[in-house]
Amino acid sequence: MYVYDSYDQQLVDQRVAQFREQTDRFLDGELAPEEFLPLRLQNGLYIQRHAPMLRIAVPYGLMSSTQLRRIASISRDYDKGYVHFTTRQNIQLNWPALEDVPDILGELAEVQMHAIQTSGNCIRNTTTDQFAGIIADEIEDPRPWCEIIRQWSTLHPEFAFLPRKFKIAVNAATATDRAAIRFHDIGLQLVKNEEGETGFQVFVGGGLGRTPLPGQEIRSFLPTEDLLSYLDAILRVYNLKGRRDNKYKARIKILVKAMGIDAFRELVEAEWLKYKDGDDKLTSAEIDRVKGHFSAPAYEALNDQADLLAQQRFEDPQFDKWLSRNVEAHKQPGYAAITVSLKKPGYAPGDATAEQIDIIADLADEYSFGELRVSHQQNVILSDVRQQDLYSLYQKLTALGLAEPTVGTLNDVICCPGGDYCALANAKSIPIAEAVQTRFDDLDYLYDLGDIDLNISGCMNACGHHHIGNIGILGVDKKGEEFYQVSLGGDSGIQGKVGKILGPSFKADQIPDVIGKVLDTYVEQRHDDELFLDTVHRIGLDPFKERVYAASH
Amino acid sequence: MQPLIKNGLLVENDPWAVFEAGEDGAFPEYALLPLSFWVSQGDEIRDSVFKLGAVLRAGDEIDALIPYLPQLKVIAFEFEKFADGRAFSFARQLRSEHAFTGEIRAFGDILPDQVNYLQRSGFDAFVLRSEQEAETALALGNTFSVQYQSDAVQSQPLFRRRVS
Repeated sequence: MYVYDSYDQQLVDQRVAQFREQTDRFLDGELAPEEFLPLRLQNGLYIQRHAPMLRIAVPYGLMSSTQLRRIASISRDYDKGYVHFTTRQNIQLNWPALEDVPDILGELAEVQMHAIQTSGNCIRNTTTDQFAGIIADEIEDPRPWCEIIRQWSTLHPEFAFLPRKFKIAVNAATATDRAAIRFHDIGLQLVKNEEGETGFQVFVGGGLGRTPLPGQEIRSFLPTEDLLSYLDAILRVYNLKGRRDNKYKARIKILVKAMGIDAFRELVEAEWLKYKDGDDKLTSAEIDRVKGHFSAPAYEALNDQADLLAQQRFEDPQFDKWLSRNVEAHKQPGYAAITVSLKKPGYAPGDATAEQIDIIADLADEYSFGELRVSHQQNVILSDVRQQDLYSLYQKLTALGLAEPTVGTLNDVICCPGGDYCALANAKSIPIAEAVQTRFDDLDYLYDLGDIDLNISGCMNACGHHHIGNIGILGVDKKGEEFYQVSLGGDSGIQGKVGKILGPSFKADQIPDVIGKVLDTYVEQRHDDELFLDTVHRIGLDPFKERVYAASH
Repeated sequence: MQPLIKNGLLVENDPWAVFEAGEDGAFPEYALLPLSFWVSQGDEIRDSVFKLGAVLRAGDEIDALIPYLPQLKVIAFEFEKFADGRAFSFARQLRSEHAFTGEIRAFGDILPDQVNYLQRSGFDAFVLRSEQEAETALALGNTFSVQYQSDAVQSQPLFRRRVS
């Protein structure tokens, strides 16, 4: 992974000193709350329902065991001993004291971490596929490009006061898109052109929130060395032309939609041509320098362990289930990537205690070269595990409650913190996740249903990505009462589809029944191995509506 | 009088002032004239011997001002709200694209904490809201000694300067 040199370290250290001084001024009354607001937001600090919330950047979801252990100790020393993994591969502390935040940032800087631009109207953490670099189906490792974007976007002087937040995601897989790039302000797809050169297919104007829209292609092929000047051009046009009169219409998606992609492209290309051959053109030396940080770990020369695993699966049916759902094929023979599930029913999705994350860090050292990844589905990945060690790792995870064999199923719920924590939320989301997980706890049934993304957001801001869940649930407030709107058919993958709303919303206690009826309809209507998502798209919403809204007798 | 910082120093007796030209079109020297004035009368005052500037407000665009850049000693951006970041991009365009070498000034609702980014975007003069904020802005001048990006001051991004 990327290791800071003296430049990177100095910048992060100076950022801590800057925020310490700003916090002092705020506490002394020199800075008004509304003036401190953008300054603290650009360091990831929200003032929330019960306490401040600090969002720590995990660049493209990658971290070391040393960093994770520091997160555990920070959560013990300054918070309540647990953390939340977010849908944008970051980590949140829910209860830090404002006065402590400079010290927390100082501790993070010691392990090459920060909270820079994890909120506010600026360029946020760049995200990517949690299996980047280890899957066979990949143009090339996207992480060096994410790091190059991280450095370019970090403390960018021109784009710190944008009309609204700005999110970039990179995908390099050809058949899947685990980074949901079509639902980002800019989505970058690594591609090869007819000459065999690597570049980016660039999408712009995607997003969720109030107006969910998939991004549109602005460029079919951008040479890699032009990445930064092209990003600058898009951001500059957006900074100058994006709406600032209404925060709900301020995202780039609204600008692109209003202008039309062709007119928007013209402005961007005109701006880009002025700078494209200037000093921002990436040098091969820089590309090689950054790529050098992402070379493969010291894999042993191993063979795939099909016989051993078959034997172990046969002897332990629970291991068989875990292997089927929580283990991903690896391009290196004899290795596998595993998902540490943070979705145990009865616990908030994506939450982990300090004890759990300390042990996960130990397991990363023991089994996976000391590195971990955070997935957009709010789980943790150990990416380089020897197949011969899978069974012992499985047993240790089981003992910790971290081997819930439900990855990719209905119970692998994506869920925002919701009304229990978040000041923006209209409704609670965690109890809904829990009710669904409790109701559908039969593993054989879950496996029979196959892959289903259930995404839950407590408000229109859509942190739980409800629009692109195969089943999406959105909390809404009606005259002080919490209701839930259900949508079907969303797809975060290559197709990039926004789900359609089923109909009138439901009360919280109706949701498990509603989901049950939706699933029954699917089971009755599906063709042999048809996925839930494909059935919904084939038969449309009507059969589901009829079942769900039928008058009960 | 609000404190003015120029090139990292407090400046006394700054002569420049925003001036809304009267019906007869008369204006004094060191007037910061609105964009609408330059658009309507810029050609007529091409031969003026006065030192003149322009003031741009929220919603104004720089395009119409470009033909008059050779006549302008100062371009002043008035910030209605500090969170409106458009002028950062305008300043960068004026410096990097149009090679404007006169003064680019920020005034209105700006925070001392924004001065560093404004400077890097091409501003070189700042009218702060109070003496105290001017002192803060001066004290914050050396917050960062490293930057990743190219900007209006340093045309080379860090990756072209990095010594490992």
